[in-house]
Amino acid sequence: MTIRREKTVRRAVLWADRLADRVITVGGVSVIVAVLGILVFLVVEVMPLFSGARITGSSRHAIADPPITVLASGMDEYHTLVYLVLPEGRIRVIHAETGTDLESVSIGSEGAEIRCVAEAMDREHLAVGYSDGKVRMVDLKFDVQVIPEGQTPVTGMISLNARDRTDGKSVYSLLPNQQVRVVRFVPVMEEPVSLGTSEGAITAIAFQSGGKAERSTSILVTRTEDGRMNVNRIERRMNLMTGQTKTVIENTELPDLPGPVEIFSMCLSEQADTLLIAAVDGRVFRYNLQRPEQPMLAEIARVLPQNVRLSAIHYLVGGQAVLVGGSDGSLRLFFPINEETMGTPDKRVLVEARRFDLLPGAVLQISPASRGKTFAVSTDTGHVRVIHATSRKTLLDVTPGSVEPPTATILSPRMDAVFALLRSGSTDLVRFSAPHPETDFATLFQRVWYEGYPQPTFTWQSSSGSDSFESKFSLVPLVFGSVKAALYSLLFAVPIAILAAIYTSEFVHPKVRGMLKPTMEIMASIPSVVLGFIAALVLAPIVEHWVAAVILTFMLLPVLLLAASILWQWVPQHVAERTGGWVRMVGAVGVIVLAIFGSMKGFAWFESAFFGGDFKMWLTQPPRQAVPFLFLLFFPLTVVLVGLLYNRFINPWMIGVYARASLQRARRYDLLRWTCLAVIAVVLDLAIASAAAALGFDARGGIVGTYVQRNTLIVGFAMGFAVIPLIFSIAEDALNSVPNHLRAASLACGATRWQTVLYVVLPAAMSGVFSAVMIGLGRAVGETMIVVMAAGNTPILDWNIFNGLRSLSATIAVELPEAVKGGTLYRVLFLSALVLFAMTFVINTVAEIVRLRFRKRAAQL
Amino acid sequence: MRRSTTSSSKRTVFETGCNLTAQGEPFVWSMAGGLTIGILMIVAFLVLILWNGLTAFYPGPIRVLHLKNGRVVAGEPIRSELYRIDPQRLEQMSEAARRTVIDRGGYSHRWLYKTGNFDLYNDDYRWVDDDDIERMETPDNLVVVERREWGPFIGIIHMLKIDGKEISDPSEIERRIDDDIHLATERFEAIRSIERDRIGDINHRMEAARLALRKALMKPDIGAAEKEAAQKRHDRETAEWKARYDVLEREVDARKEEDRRFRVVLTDVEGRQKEMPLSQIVRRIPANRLTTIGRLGVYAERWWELVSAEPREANTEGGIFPAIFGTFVMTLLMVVVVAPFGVMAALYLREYARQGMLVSAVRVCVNNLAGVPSIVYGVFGLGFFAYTVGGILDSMLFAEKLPNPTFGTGGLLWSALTLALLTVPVVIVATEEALSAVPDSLREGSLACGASRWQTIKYVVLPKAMPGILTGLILAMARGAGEVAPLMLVGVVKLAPELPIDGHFPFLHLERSFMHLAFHIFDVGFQSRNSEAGKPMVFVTTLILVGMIAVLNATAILVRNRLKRKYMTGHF
Repeated sequence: MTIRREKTVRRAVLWADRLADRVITVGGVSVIVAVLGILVFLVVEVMPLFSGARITGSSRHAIADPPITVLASGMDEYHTLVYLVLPEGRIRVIHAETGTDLESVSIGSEGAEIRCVAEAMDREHLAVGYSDGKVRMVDLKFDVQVIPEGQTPVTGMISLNARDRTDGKSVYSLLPNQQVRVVRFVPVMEEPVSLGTSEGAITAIAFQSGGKAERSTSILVTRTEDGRMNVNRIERRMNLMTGQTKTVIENTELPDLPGPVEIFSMCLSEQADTLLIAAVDGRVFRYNLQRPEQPMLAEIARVLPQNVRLSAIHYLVGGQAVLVGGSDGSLRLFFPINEETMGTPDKRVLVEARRFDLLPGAVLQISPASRGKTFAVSTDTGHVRVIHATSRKTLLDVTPGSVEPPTATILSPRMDAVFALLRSGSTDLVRFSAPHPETDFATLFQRVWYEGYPQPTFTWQSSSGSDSFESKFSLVPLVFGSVKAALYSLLFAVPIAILAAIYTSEFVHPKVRGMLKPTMEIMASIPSVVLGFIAALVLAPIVEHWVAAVILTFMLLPVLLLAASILWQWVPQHVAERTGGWVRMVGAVGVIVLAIFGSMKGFAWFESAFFGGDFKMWLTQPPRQAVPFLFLLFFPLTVVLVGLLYNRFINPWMIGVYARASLQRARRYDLLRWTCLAVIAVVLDLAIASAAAALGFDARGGIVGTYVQRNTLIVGFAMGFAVIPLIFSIAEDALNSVPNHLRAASLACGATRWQTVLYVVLPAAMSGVFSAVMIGLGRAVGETMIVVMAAGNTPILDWNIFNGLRSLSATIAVELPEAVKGGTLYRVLFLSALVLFAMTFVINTVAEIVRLRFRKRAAQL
Repeated sequence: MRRSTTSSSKRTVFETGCNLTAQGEPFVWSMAGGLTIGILMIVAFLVLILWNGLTAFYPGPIRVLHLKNGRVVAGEPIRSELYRIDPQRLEQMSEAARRTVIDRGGYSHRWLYKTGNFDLYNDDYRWVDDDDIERMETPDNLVVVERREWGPFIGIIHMLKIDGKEISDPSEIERRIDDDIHLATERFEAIRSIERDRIGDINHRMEAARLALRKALMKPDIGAAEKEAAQKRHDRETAEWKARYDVLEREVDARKEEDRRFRVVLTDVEGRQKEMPLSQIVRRIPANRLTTIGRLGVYAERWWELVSAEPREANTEGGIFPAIFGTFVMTLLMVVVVAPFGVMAALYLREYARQGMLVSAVRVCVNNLAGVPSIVYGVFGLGFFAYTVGGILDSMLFAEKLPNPTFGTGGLLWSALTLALLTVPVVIVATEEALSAVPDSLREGSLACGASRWQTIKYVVLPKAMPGILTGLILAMARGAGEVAPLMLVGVVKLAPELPIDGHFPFLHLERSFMHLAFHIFDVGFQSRNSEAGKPMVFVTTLILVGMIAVLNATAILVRNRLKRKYMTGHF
């Protein structure tokens, strides 16, 4: 008989169950998504670094009465107005967007006509050369004001477009927040001055200006009809009391050009210390003006191949690099570097550092930005390109409406618009936004030849005060720094951690192990800032003082340990077996104390015997005494080599000898054997070291070199400290999870503990141990505070253990708080974080996969 | 196996030479050496931290050194070292001195003395070579005066100027100085209390009024009448607070005026004088006259100041209360965030999701994320939380404060969230392990009794797994408390003007930046004017931080051990 019962579930239970279901699912999934979202977010933040320009607006119009030649041209910051300096002696101002003519200013001189003009690098100063030998300086200024909408004049306004109106002189642009921006071109003209060098017409001119308003200096280079060239230094001093200006002109004649030269143009560098005279045939004459009273023709360089005519040349901001365009559409960048072998009188030589993509026609005009390394370039086919000089990235490519040469090409001062005027009078204004022109894959990860550097390099130098600074964003030194720190610290940590793990798992009593593990685990959670502080403020000065003693300690330790172990063999074996693990540890403490004591006593001898008295001095003086250090360096390798050879050839025979001997005799044999091996190793090592030194091999310049206080050795110690517990813990787990029956079987077959470890436990646990090392590597690569504090943060590429380094993580920690949000440095640092993320992710994934495989295998055993 | 040696016939087999090599002693010794080095490093590290941290505040004797060149130096010996004399100095030494140095192998011994008196010497530490000392004494009348500015003064109290009355009799000074310092400190505290609390409160309200006005004016459809009303309210409130402010300011001025009449004149051992208000003195330690108990008293007083007071002298002196408080609040906030989400994610992975390739992949990822460098989380926290989310919050809720960011920059909330993200993998892994350690038989039993899935989790699985989950959470706290690299990006500052919790609405200020113990170590050790002067502070801060983390970890280990025991007995 069955009892039927109504089974109902309370509503609340059902609700709770369903609610928990939803909440946990949604919550769980969202946590996982959020954590993975980090990757996505980093990628999104980094993407703009690799993109070109985005066009934000463009307008195409035509102007009436188009000029045939334009001597100079410019645009204001808000791309409202464009001025064109025309040969007939006036500056014509037009509205950039519509091409409408506004006012026009005369810059003519009585009884003379304009022969040539030159713009200063800041694009705000112009020098005009006249046919009567006079020159005139013009300040090309824009007056920009922002006024409330209500204050704009009502009468006499002409509407230009939806945004802009004009009263014939100023342009009133409506801004979003009920304000109006008024832009007006207000050139300040000085009186023409006679330079006093020659009465003839000035045929070519180059110009830079500097100084303050009350005391300005202009440097001109003029060439007159008679072919003579002069450097003219014009200094104006304004008397602050009277307001009168005093003008002083100093002229220095330049050495003549060799032979007849058809001059294309003259360019003066921004600091006015170099004059380049470009000839049409592709030669450039470089005058060194560093000593103004003694100018010299320093170099004649061919910057274009034969048969290519030079069609454009212009300095970039910064006064080092010059762009040269040819009639074949080629565009190259040159700058002088220090070079002694070429035989130039000033020991500098122009080098072609970069070549840009070929343009579709002969390069006609180059318009550099006054605040960065971006420039616009136009060809005789009317194409306009905006390119960044460092990254060689083409930001913008404007195809003309009709194929005809441009008369003016202007890049706006903020590098966000480009204006072109074609011969037929059609204008093209393209607004664009290129927030990160200086970065692309090549500048971030490949060698770049920066201005003034002797060769292409990987360089990280992210910030500077000036606009003309070329940012150097190579991530290579930073990645290298991270890897260097990680490798050196692992070199220190891995042997200690693995050996300690094996000993803990196989040779000590389980009770001791139960104490050791938690100690190590607490150690793993010591904040890295503490380790960094101890390393940098306590350890670094000590090691700096006693570096020779430290090296000696590391040398003595293994030797003394070996000696102790040989002594230990004389202990009766049943005693040795019973005392177990801890006695050896006590012995090892003694050995360590002895090693430290010995090196404190003996390091002076060591230093004078091996390094000629002072280790740090020895480091900086190659090639003196290369052998002793090579001896130390090669010693571990030689020992391994000797060991292998011994194992292969002599050991089989020795086994027989040992087997026949009594224990007492075997002990003596063993002492003899190790002594012989040590002597052989020393002799062999000495031979190898001498041979290497004879072949010119020296550790200095490689893994050792100049000593700085905060160096990789210190980082290695401190970071070793941080990763030892980690590696130890995981490796010990792996060893421990090798099933005990394997050990039991091995021991039962008569193997000793050592044999069991070597032939049974280690092979079984190998993958686990490997993954422990990988996880340690992952931690070391990403470690931040230790590196920030103890590594000196110098972004250099060398393996010198006594030099500093700068890692990815340290760079982020140091520079990101200062970086402007959304700026290039900000995004490059995000990229650094992404690279770091990727590196550790790969390392950890490998470790994890290996570990999982190991687990599966261990379970099957 | 070991027993096999007892039988005599086997012993002969055992003790052949072959057995010797089979033991592999040299290799075993190298392992023992590795372990020993590891342990010794840890011990040395702990001893270093403990010793330096515990002795940093213990007042030592003051030595007066009469140097051979006629100068007199007074200072507290800090530490000594053997050093190599550089050749140029060796050249300048007298013949006899050079001989002794060369006999010692070019080395010499020196002590570092804390001389104080930074305002007189431009330096407060000095190395003195043992060879340069003519004679040494420890006079009784020397005092260490800890000051609110310029660091300690070591010298003699020369004169008191109380209300224009000059007291220069040493016994009279000795009799009354402690009372005078006590009174001066009370005056100082009173002034500071007015300036900080009451004037600070008024400033806070005036700022609130200003923001209220801006907020009102920023409304898009505001009429002229409303505008005027808002302006009027602002003006009225401001005027009211300004009046109160003026009253307080007069009071402060009067008190300061009074304070200035109580002055002290100090002289250093070479006779240079320094006059200052008595209220500048924090405490006076007659270092050479103190008994051990007196020293312990000073020691305890300094520790109390450390944990209760605010920092002064660019963080190198005074207390670290704001840093302790900041660390505590931030860690707590982090746990509040990380606990539910971490547990939820683990529950999902272990109890809800279908176990398959995808879940194992996610598990590998989560494991991996525990190994992603903390600085990467910091970058994410800055870019996403502070700039993106914070920027949106600012434009929606705090538009009147722009362009000054409220949430759009680093702060307590973003730090806690960033660290929560950093530690969530730890919690997930630990919780998952704890969940998987709960035997399936328990779940099946519960489900078979008719419990729903949630009931099973709530009443059976979670209680069993709780110790494991707690362990994970405590470990996460330990990690979070010691992590500083990401915090440098998302809200830790070297000196926070206000605590994240105070008496102004809404009491817990999540947007404020805060101080943190680990960052304090970095800041004092590396960014202060003299790393030597900051060292005692760094060591005690380190001691507190390491102690905190050790306690957390030890708790975790205890909990874990208890858990293990529980499972050994509680298995079906």
